[in-house]
Amino acid sequence: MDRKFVVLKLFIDELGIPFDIESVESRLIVQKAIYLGQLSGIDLGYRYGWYIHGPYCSDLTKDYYALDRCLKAGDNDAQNNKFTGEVSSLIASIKLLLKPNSDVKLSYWLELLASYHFLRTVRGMGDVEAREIIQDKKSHLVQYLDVGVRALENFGLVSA
Amino acid sequence: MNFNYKRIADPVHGTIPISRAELEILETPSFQRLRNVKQLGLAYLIYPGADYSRFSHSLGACHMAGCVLESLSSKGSLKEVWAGRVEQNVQVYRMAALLHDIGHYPFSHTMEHAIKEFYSAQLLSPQEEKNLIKPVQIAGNLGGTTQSIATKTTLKHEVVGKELLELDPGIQKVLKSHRIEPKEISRIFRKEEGQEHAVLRNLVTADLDVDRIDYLQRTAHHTSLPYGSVDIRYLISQMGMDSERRLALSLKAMRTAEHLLLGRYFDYMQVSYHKTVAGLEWLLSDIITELLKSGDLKCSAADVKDLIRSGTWSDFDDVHVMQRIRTLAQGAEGVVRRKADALLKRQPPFIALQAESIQKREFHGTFEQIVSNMKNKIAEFAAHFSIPVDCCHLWVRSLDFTETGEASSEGEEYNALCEKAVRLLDQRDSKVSTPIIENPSSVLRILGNYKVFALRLYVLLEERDKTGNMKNEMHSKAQDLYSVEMERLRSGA
Repeated sequence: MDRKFVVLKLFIDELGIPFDIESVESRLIVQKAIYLGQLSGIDLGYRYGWYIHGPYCSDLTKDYYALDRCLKAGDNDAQNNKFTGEVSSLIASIKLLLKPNSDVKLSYWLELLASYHFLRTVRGMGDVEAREIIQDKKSHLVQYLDVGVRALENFGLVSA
Repeated sequence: MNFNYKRIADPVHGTIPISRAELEILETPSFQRLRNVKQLGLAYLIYPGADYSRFSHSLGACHMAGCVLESLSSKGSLKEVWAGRVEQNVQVYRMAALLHDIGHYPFSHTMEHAIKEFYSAQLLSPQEEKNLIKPVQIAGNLGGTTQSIATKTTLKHEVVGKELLELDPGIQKVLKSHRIEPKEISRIFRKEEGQEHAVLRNLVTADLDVDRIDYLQRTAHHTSLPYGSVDIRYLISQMGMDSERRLALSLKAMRTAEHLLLGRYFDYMQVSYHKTVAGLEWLLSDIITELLKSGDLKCSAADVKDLIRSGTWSDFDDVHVMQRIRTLAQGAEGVVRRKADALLKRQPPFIALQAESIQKREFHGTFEQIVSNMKNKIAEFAAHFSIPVDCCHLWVRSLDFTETGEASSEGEEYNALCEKAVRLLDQRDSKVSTPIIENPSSVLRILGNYKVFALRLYVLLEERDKTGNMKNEMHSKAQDLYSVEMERLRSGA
C-alpha cells in the first residue's frame, strides 16, 4: 500500500472516525473529518472547494476509494504502522472537536463545523455573512449553529 | 488591453501573441525555470522529439485560453458575465493558463509521487512508542503547522504554484504592477473556493480544458504519434457558456470532443505508460528516493517554501536533479549504483510479465486483489533467481476513459465529477448543459463504465543475467505466478 494511504487510514483511525465509505452520509463524514483533522497542523495535502454539502475534496475521494480497495484486497500495511508521538499528539488535540457534545448527528456536526470554518477562513466571510449562508443553504444545521461556532472559537480556529 | 504586445513563434500554434503582463511573467526566473522541466519526463528516451518543456506548453495553454475566450466574446457571452471588465478578466484567465504549471517539480509526477511517499513515511514511527500521547495545548496552536511537521509534509504542485504566486518576488512584482490579484489566478487553476460562482471554472482544469487541448496537440507534434490531432479551431468555435457559467460544447462538436478524450487514452498508453518509459521512470523514482534519504534533495513543504522565498526555486529543475543523480552514481554501490547507471545510460529494465485488459469499473476491487497477491510473490520470484528484491518492481496502473463514474453515481461526488466532465449544450435551450456521459449517443457513455487495468513486472538485470535463457525463465516463472492468481480468481477461491 502506498505510504500516503497508510497515513490516510491511520489519520482517520486516530480521529476516531470509522473508515466507512459505503453510504453518502459516511463519505460525508470522512470528507469533513479530514478537513477538520488537517486543522491540527498535519497537512495531508487535501485542498477543498465548496460544493453542495460544504467543503469537498475530489482528490480525497479518489484516495479513499483506492484505500478501500486496498483494504478489501487484504492489504494490512496500515495495521503494521503507527504515527510518531508528535503527529499523534496533534491529532489528539483536534479529535475532541469532532465529537458532538449534544444529540446532534455526527454527519451534521462535522458538516456544520467544516462549512462554517471554510466560509470564515477560506472564503474570508465575517460571522454574520457565514451564518446567513448556513441558514440559507443548510437549514438542517441551523439549530446547532451557536454551539458549533462556540466550539470552533474554543479551539482557536475562528475568531469571535 | 493589448494581447498582441509581442508574438512568439510556436511549432504547434504558429505564432502566439501575448500581452505585456504575460511577457513580464515569462521573463521571471521562476517561469524561465520551466524551460528545464520537461513536460513528458523521460519519454524523450523513447521518442527523441518528446523533450518539449513545460515552458512551451504553458504558453500554448495561455494561447488556447485566449482563443476560447475570444470565441466566447464574439458570441457576446463574456459581456453577460463580466460587463465592463471583460478584458481584465480575460487577462486573469490567460494568466491562470500561463501559470498553471509553474509549481511543477523537476520530472513532474514521478518526483511528486516519490516525494509524497518519502515524507509520508516520515510521519510514521518505526518502533513502538511507550510515551503516552499528550494532546498539544489547544489555544493558539491549532490552525498553524508546527515547524517540525512542516518538514514532514509535502505540497502538491498546484499548491506550490499558489505559493509562488504569493511569495515569488519576481511574479509578485509583475502581478502587482498590472493590478492582478494572485488569489484570483490560483482560484481558477486550483478550482478552490467560490466554486458555485466561478465563471468558466472548467476552462483550465477539467476533462476538456485548455491544458489538455494544448498538451495533446503538442505531444502529437513532438512524438509524431497521431493522437491529439483534433480540429481545434472547430472545437473552439463550438464552445459556449451554460447558465451556470461553465464552458460547454454544442452538440455538433460531440464527436470532436470524443475524439479528443479518446486521444487522451491512446496518448497515455503510448507515451506515459509506454513499457520502456515506465521502466525508466521506476528507476528514476527509486534514485530520487535515495537522494531524499541522503539529504541531497530536500523537498518538504518547509523546504519548498524556503526555496521560493530565497529565490532559488528557479534553480530547482530537471538539470539540477540529473546532476545530483550523476554525483550519486559516482559514489554509490550495489543496487543503487546499478539503478543510477541504468538510468543514465538508458538501459531499461527487463519486463518479465505484462498483463493488460479493459474491464468494467467494478473489476477494480478484483484487480487490487490480484495486485496485492502478486506483490506478496515478488520476494519469492527474486529469491528464485537470486536477485535482490529491490531489483524487481510491480508496476500497476488503471486508466479511466473519463473520470465521471469513478465515484458513486450520486450526491456530491457525482456532482463534483460532472463539474470536470465535458458538457454539451442542449439543442433546444443553449443555456442548459449536461455531462457528455449522459448523452445516449455518446461512446463515452459506454466507455465511462470501463477502465484499463495494467500490470507489469520489471526486473533490473545484471549483465550476466541478460542471456536469453535467464529472460525466458523469468518470463515463465512470472507467468506461472500470475496464472495461479488468475486461476484462483476464476475458481472464486
